[in-house]
Amino acid sequence: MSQTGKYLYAVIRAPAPESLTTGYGLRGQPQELIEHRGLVAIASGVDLEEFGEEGLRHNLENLPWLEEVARVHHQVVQFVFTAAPAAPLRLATICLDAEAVRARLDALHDQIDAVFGRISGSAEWGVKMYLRIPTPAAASVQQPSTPPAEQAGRTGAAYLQRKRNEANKRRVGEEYAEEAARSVHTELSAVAVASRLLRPQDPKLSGHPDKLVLNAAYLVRSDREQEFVTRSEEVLAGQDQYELVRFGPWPPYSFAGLDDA
Amino acid sequence: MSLYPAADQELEPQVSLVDLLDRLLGAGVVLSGDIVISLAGVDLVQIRLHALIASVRADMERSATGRVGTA
Repeated sequence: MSQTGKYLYAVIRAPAPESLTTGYGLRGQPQELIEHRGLVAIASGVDLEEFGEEGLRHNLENLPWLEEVARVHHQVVQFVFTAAPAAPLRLATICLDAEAVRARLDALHDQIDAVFGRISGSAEWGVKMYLRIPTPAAASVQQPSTPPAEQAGRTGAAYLQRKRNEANKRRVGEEYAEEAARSVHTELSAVAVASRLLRPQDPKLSGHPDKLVLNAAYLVRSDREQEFVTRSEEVLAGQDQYELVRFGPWPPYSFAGLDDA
Repeated sequence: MSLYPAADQELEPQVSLVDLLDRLLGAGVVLSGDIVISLAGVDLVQIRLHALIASVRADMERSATGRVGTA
């Protein structure tokens, strides 16, 4: 390694649980616990050639590189989170040395109480709700209504009318879906400590062909987890036009912002 | 070594990168490290990244015409 820096994953309250002294971070480097004024930063050494300003600038645009770093970051934060309430740090937070990390902890000290107050004992759950876009086959099965004679008589007009109906139906479907998404969000928020709507995802990015109508994060206390899961499974029962994807429990990424308090 | 909590593992075989980045880039404690990738910089990265993923997806699209053409 040339020059090394400290990559930060998360901050917890001291004392750090014993289990955290054994983990590994990026590039197989051992986790380091850097303590200062009752806070502990979980870090690991990184090569500044790779993680310095220069390196990061082009590496962040290299998809396989980014994916690997994101997954390791997530794994370490998950690992920490299973052992103690953890405030995750944003991807690619890097200090030059342990002394610089302590200076950051010093600055963080007075603000982070509010974060721990919010996230302790809770986990983040992600919920995405999709409106299924009917496949051509399914759509034509749903259109048996026009009598054959009529169809033969005014094919062009019937075609246009059918197109208009389909468009209307789709619009109504989407408007209705927004309403359904709002009510799902309300239902789930009722079981959560906090909730947050995330940006809609481009279907090209998510690889999901259906229309995303809800992309939300919920901060759920561990004693209400089962209730949250059950509610998320029941809230759309019998409504096959929707698909609900749930993931968690995750570290409280979306709820660890310093200015959210 | 399994690093994921067991509770919901069957639902989370592989987290999608988009869901991960939504959180790792857009949230968390934002601490300015010594190596500063500014917020604006990250946005820029994300935009370029989106373009990159979009092009990767386009390559993988099984039958783009089948889906789009029937509207």
